[in-house]
Amino acid sequence: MPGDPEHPFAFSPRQVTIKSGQTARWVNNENVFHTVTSTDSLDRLRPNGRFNKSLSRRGQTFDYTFRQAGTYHYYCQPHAPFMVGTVRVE
Amino acid sequence: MRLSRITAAAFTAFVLAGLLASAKAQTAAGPTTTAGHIQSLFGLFTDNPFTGGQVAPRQYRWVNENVLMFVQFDRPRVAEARALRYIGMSVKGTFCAEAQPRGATGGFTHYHRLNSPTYGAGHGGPPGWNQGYWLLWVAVDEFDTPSGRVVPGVDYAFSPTPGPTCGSNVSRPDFQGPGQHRLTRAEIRRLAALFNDNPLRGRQTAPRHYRWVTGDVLIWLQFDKADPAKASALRHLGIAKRGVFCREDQGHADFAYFQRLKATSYAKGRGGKRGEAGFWHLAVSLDASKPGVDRSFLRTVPPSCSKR
Repeated sequence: MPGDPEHPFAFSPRQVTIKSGQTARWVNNENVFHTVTSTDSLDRLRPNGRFNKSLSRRGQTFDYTFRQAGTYHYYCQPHAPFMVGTVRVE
Repeated sequence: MRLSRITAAAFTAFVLAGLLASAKAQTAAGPTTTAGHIQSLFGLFTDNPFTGGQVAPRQYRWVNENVLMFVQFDRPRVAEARALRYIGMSVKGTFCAEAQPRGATGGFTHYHRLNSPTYGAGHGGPPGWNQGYWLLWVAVDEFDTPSGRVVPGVDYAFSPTPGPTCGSNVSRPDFQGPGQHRLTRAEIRRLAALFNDNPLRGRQTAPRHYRWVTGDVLIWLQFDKADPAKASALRHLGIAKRGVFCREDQGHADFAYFQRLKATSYAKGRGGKRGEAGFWHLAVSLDASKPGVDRSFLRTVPPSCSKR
């Protein structure tokens, strides 16, 4: 997300809603190191062990299948606290 | 029976808490960071080990050809900074799990590339990247962060960039850092002049140089010689926090060494009697061949203070 020097990177869309059993895919669209790290809360960004994947270059992807309904938060570890996202599973 | 156990446990906790409070009260709180002190530290940490236009939110000083130390305040600009948050070190390295100093749990949580147009784009890198630095942060205060409450000691959760697995073919860093150099004798004297607090009483003269940064914590430097006029290298940096010589007060095992507040000589001040007041020390080795927390530094094993 160029143009915002304070928050130069972001997950887009920041929130997404999918069905139970569907797979979400994260794609790194720049040559910047990011992680997709699950956390229990966006107020306290700590890995909860559900998933934690590094995407170090443009084009790398990470797939995760959500099998249970719920709200799943995640963030980029080196770009916390501004680079965060949520998957809602119905 | 159950009630008596609870009562005994409560009594022990009460006694221990009293012991800790009493002993800590003997070590007068140090002065907190002042605006003048912040400016002084900024003035000593003026190196920029990066290229490409990126500006790190901390201030660096080269220690030798491979290692830097740094200070990090609550705000990146000197005019806005009000408190020191971290000290730490950077060591040249390669972005591989196999090359992460002391491994994945050794405190070097973050890799940063030498060259980047912006600081945020310089985190991590492609697997095997060998032009950058591994960083370790030591908090000097207690404060909140997005990942939770931080207390004095190594921040093992600071901005992690997990090192990728590279296999057996890990290249060594082979770049010249901007301005890299060994500390000169003049620089050593200037550093020692700023670290001029002596928290120890009696006739103790420590072979290191302290500076109060909060009411409970000092930062310190230890050169290869106790006399900075004769020193030619910086070996360790670290923090010391007020405490008592009890296992229950040690906190993290990184605080491996205790020096009592009062002693007739420095040599007699190492360790102490059960519950005695003094300072817990955390040491960080700046040796590029074995960088990071040095738990063997003057190690003292504390007694339990909950035994009666």
